Amino acid sequence: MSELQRLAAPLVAEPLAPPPSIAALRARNRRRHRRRLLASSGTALVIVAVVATAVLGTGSAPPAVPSGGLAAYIEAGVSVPPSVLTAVGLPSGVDPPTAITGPALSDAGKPAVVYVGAEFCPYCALERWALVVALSRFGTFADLGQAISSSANDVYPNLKSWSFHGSTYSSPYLTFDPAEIASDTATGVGSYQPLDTLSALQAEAFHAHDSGGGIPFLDVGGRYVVLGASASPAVLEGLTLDQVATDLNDPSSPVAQAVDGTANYLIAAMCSVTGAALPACSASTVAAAVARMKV
Amino acid sequence: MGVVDCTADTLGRREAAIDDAPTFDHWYAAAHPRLVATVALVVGDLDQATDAVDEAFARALERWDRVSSMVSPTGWTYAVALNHARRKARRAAMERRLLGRERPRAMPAPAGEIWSLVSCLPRRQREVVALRHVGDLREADIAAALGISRSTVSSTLADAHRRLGHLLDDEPESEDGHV
Repeated sequence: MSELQRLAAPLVAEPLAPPPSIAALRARNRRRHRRRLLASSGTALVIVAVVATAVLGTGSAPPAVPSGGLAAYIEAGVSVPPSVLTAVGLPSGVDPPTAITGPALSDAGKPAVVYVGAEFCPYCALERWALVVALSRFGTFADLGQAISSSANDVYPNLKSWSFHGSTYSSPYLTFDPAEIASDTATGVGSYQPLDTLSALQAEAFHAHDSGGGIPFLDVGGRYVVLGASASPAVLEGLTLDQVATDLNDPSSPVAQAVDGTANYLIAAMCSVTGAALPACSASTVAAAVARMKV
Repeated sequence: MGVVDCTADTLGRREAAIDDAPTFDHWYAAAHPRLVATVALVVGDLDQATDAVDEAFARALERWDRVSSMVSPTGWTYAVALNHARRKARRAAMERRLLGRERPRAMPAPAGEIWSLVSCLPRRQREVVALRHVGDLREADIAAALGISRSTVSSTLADAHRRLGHLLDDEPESEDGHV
């Protein structure tokens, strides 16, 4: 041991600064993600442009709906067994949705789930996977599986996902109203081709609860909102669509922990707003999740 | 009893013992104090060091599945912390130029005592000395953390040794195996 090591020993034995808790480290990561997202000029420009076109109603018609049924990797997402969801439970790395008060959000007499995201957005990639796992408990998708890749120049580049643009969803319990406000096609440094314009329902929810204009945004029946990704999208880094789909069914995988864990909260929120008597709503995780999401 | 080789192999095993810890929690608890002390001696400011180290551990937590499989998770975390500290230092320097603000440095004892000994070294030498003698990193891991070759690490340590002399000398092992 050198003299310098001997002098430094007390610095280790009696730490100069206490280590933050794991929860504090996670909170730090979330703050950094939000800062970077908001600082992304592309995000800001796209949101301003799309919100403006939504308000002014000058957006162009969306491209044709992709044909065909569900892609294989989506099938894997909709068929994650209940036993896997139960095994995943409510991981500590997943943020619960925030309970809100105010008018209920509904459409055609049913509770509405509104999603606002963008194809280039890496945080939206994670939320999309969780949404398909959760929503498939309440209804069926069609025309879903248009593969996309998040921005190559943003944090968590090239995350593999798929777009809600052009998809349809039907359920006897709720409606799903998604908007991908920009594509993954860059039109310049940090800017992307606008895609969907916000519907009246989407604009109502988005403006009421997302004053920062960030994405992804999710409103479940006007009772729960998600601002930003519920878990770190880092779990998707370097994975293909098929790999993500496979990992969804392995409760110990980081993907399942993040995506299925997020889905468990979303399922609980959807059970709460619909009152549906579905097997998914009697799972033990639902009551626990609802308790954590209380105001 | 021969001289203790308190260099690569000995410290490498110690480093490996920490890095092989099965969970983030264990590794974090063991590595955090040493990392704070090391970065504090590099940047000369405990507040800046703590902020940089906390940021680095937060990023390690986020990528733990990949970081844990690295040869030296601690080395990676040092690199992230040092980069973060450098960015903050550049911002602070600009702030001082623009606003005429000088941020008071905070280095409590006993860190202040060691700082007074190593602060005479050029920045690169101070980094290498701190990573080697306080951070307990192997030369190969220091090279990876700083983005320099291992031979540069060796020569930088040799230069620092010439300036600090006895402070960096390894001491002989006693009869009972303790130094």
